[in-house]
Amino acid sequence: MKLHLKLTHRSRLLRPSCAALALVALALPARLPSAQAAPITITYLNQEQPIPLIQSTVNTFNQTHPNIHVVLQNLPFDQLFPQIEVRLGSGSSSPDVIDVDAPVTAAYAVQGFLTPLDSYFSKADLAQFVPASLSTSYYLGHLLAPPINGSSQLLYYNKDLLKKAGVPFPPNDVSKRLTWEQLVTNAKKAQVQAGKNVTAWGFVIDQIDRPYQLLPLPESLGGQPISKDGLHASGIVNSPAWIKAFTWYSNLFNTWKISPIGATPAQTPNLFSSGHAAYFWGGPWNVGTFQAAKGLHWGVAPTPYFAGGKAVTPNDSWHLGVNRHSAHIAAAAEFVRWLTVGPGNDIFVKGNGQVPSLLREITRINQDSAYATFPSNVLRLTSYEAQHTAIPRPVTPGFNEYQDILTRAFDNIRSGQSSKAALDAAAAQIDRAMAKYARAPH
Amino acid sequence: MSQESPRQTASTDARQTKPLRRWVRRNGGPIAGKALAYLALTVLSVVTLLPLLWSVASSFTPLNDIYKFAVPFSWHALLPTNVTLQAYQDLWASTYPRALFNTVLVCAVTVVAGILINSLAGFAFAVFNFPGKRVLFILVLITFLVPFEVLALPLFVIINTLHLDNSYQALILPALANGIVVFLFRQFFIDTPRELLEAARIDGLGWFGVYVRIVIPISTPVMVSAGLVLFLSQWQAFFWPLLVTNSPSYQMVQVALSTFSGQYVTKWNDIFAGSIIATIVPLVLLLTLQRYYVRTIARTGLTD
Amino acid sequence: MSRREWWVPYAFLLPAIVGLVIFRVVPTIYAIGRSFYAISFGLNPATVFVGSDNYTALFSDPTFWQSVRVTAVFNLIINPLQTTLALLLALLVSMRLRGIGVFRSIFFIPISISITVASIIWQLMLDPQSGLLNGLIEAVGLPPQSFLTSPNQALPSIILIASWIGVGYWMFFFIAGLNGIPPTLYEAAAMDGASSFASFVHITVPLLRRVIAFVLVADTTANFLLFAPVYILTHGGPQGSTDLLMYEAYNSDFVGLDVGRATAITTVLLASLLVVVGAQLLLLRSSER
Repeated sequence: MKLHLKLTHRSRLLRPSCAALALVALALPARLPSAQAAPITITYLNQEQPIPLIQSTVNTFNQTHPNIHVVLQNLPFDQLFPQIEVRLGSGSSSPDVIDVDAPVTAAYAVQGFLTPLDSYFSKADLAQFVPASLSTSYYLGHLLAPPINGSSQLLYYNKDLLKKAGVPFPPNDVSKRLTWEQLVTNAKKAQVQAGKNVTAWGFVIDQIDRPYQLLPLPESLGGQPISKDGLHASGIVNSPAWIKAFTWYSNLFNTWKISPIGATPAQTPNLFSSGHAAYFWGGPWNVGTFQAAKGLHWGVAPTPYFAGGKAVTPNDSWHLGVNRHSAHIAAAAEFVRWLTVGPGNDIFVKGNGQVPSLLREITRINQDSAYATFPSNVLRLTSYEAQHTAIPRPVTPGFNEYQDILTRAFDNIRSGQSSKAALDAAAAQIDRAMAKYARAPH
Repeated sequence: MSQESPRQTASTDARQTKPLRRWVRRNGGPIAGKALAYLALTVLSVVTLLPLLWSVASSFTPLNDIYKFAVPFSWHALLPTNVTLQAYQDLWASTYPRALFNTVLVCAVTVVAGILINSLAGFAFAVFNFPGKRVLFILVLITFLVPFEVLALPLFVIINTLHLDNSYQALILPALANGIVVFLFRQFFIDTPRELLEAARIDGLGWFGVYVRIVIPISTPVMVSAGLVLFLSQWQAFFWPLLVTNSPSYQMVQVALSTFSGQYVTKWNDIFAGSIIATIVPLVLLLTLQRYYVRTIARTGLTD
Repeated sequence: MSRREWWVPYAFLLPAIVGLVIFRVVPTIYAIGRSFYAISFGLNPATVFVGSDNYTALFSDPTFWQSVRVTAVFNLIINPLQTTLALLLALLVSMRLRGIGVFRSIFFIPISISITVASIIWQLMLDPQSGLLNGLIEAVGLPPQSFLTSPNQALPSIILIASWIGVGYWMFFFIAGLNGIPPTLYEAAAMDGASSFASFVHITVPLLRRVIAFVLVADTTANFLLFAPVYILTHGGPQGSTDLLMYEAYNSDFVGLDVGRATAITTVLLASLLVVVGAQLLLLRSSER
């Protein structure tokens, strides 16, 4: 334990191996006579973006950058987070580049995982980003993880179910949004029951219990997600706007019974694609699945808002960061720049159909006639939302805890606890969990 | 127990019992008992099988149909109408076959080497008395009382220090010595008759010889049990393989399976198809090994 | 064993002990040591020695005590339940009955299913509105249940799922143990006129006691450290009703970025397990005579 006392970082045990790795890295070019022919190899830990797409994008980079060779490591979404915690937490120099889920940027920053990238991005570079997407890239005044794409939410509807219930289709027009109150009225009509059993739910929410999707509800009523310093929640997540929004949410499951209590985010898109939901509030990434669903006739409309409130949509998505212990920070930063603001981003965003994080891509979508018709016009709608109604998730080093505690609170509300009791408890828990960051030399 | 010989007691007993009662005891009892046993077996089998039927059926169902009959639940969900092999074709085209091969290889090495290493230790704890025995035994106990998750980071550092990341060694080495398996062997070996061991020693066998020639041949059931523990520790391993390997060349089967559940889309049919294959392999092993460790007995004390 | 052979037991132990020390003991010491440190967060974070601060914070946290209660209740129920069911099942499938092999094979199936897939399957079975189980319950005229979404039923549901996965596994060791009992003992007892129950009490249980000790200890350990179904299905809820200590530890480690808290919880778990397992071993040893 003596050894532990002397060293300061979380990765005390690793120091000797870091040194050894560095030695190997130094020794390697020496052993190869034609050192300049051997490019620097950097590894990129990637969460399952469509693999062929990201692979071909990376291939393009490798072809156009003979000095750098990027190796892709794909991981499923759920596994990315513990992987990063252990690998970067151990001080390992690999991977060099990681996918950063926007709201955990600050968490990675305060653990010393990320290297500031300010010197690699010019003012002109930064001006090209959608402001809402860029805002979560910073922490403590440093650019740590620029975005590769944004995200948004839409109101999908099942045409057959609405027709059967005599409910008009909601217009795909941002000036004629439904209110949440209207949506409930319509959803009640469109719900189909066989005796006690529900055969089609009135309204299903994609990420049914996650803050990403649900924060816009209190925000539509003027609620804030967290204190300005990102470390306090009491009086904020249990404010009147929150309680009102989550009483409405509770009613979906417990009073009106138009939403499924037991469903998980992994199941909800299947409920809509198999014809078991009249309305579905979800992300544009579902378009492919819904297009492929046989017998499903669907349309889209913008996200509703609370009467008397304003329209709010979520926005942030995936960002890229460079491992602070990487042996090739400059090369890694060059790749990150290429994929976020350089030509790589155009290749990538064109392929994956997500909401762009670059203004020039939004302009392209608004001008290109290919996006004028259904269903690719979905991207025009989400691009509008990204620029006009988007509020990204809050910047706090404790976003993980914040998300976890709120998800549990939302589950409690779903299963019948009063929204006030659940949110009061959550606020106290969040404050307790955030206390450890107050030690930070901010 | 009675001092009379069992045979005698039985015959006196039989003579004193009336014929009808005797018949009931010989036949009626067993029949009622058997009926009860079959009833219990059937109920438990249904409880065991029902959740599985659904996943088997789902693996033959197109992705979009899975929820069609599951919500609300209808019997169609158990008998797919629109049978497709798409999920199995997806599997074949993915990294899954390679992962299956890796896992079988890793399992085989772990089981063989693990049985040897841990049974030697279990034998030492069961048979010998030596200074430090108690301390070492407590040490072994502690090794299986600590959750792997909190060991992951230091273990990862150790593997990196040994330059073993991304190799079969990284997957196999940490799994060989297994505290619970040592404990298992100790529990079974402790009843080995001492006379048997002493006799073999007098015949001139060394202790290793005794272990190989005498102990191993009479220990098939515990070897199979230990093999199962070691096998499953690798077959179901997920967190560790995910950490130490990141190239498909070393991917393990549970990691391959997890790639079907994404952030946005979960390919339920592929997951079920993959888990069915991941279930069948150990199952076939278990069933073929049954005859080495199962002995049916006429009376177990459950029924008369 | 002669004096010249003093080294023999150590030679038998060497490979296992070396492996355990490198891959288990050293990381364990690290983890316990880590529970006395905390991170001072920042762009250049530092790990600082904080003495018993992590434990003080833990013991004053109501969430922790809620988890202790849940973990205690969970283990008091599930360990005797699984061990008893596994033993009964082992006896049942060891009976000489026609077709018994088929039944035995059926009970083996859950052994080979991954806990993740099992959890997902059961979640769909237990869905309060569309699950098969409520369908069956309603078919016999009873009111539907909330299962995982109710604070009162979530823990029993987790026990059900964990037992569905676990009982077949522990049955396996009892089957192996039954194999070691000479059939002649039963035959002799039968001729002695001993009832079946008597031979269970006087032959099966005493001769299985070491296997029972193994299963009890291994099962207790597995259940103390279990968190996958909770992680996948309930996230400790509703209202903390399934917030097992191990889930708190995992969450603190990988969600809460609080390795100090995670390792403190693990150390508490290790200490309690040592006491419980030690008591089980002593108890079963004293009953040997």
